[in-house]
Amino acid sequence: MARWVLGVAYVCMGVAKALHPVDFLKLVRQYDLFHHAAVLNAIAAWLPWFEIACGLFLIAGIAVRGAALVSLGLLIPFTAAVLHRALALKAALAIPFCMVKFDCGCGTGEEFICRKLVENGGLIALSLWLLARRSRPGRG
Amino acid sequence: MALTIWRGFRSVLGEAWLVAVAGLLFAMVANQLAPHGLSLTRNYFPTGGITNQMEVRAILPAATNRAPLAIMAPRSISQPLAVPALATPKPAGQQMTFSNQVIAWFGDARRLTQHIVFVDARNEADYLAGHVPGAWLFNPYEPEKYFPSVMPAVQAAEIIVVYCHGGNCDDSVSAATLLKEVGVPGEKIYVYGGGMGEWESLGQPLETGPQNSGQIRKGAP
Repeated sequence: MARWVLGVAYVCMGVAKALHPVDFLKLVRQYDLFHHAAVLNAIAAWLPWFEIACGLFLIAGIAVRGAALVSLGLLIPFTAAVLHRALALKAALAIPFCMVKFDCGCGTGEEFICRKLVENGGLIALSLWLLARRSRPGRG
Repeated sequence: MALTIWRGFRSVLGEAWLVAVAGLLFAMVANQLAPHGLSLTRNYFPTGGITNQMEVRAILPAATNRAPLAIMAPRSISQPLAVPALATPKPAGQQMTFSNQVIAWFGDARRLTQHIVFVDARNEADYLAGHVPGAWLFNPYEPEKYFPSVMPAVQAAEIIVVYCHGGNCDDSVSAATLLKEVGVPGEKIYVYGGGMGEWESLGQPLETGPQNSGQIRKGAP
């Protein structure tokens, strides 16, 4: 069950971004973490499809623990970046932290930051769960 | 025990490596085949970033002009952090223009003879939802698609007003930069920083659907 939830989440988020790569490119740029055009382009072009591939591995039950480790490698830095940006927005707009709302480029549109962090926390927990358990193909 | 853990760890690392390599290959091929796939080599932001505060040849608003968008509320708080909240982009080497001048140009008879043209630098969906009547669609992220239709118009025009959403949107600056790069004289290109957000809030007319559809509605202040 865990790998299905995580896998479907990755596929849905990846497809939403892959369908509108220019919009995703603009969102990646807004993080102001990368400035070289080729780096920005590569992230915006490949990350959505990479997420879809990761989701398909999980759904298919192939290399589940490896996919869970990759998932952690995606989620932890991304959550840190989202948190960093939310804190900057909070400071710039002088509003309560949980009132900060923006499109983080997750494929889910604008969301309140607290909700986003809870969602990401859930996905990280699922990834850890899949990573910790013994790999048994065909079982979630 | 330690050996078992080490073997398990190696096994997971091997699987992760497999997933990462396969995922990357899949991503590269998929982006290449996707109809809207991104080019890895193109600079989609030719302005170099909206924080660039190089030469700004601004046409300052007359005393009676409204202030630029800097005093307007942002469309949402999801705007880029690269610039302070509520700031107007400071495009490098672009002429800025403001609402009073833009409204005057819109009412100028030369607009009807295409000596004054408006260029909409948003995407097609936003354009169809409402644009300055008669404006040409020119999405700077797909320039090759729009150059053939836009170039004759901008080359013949005396004044070109380029706009996007307004606020911190800098797609109008990208579009203006692209037009200059293909030989349109920069002296006749003006970036309307207030963009559609301001245009609509001032109750100015909007045309919905394709260019010259005749479906005009008034912007909602």
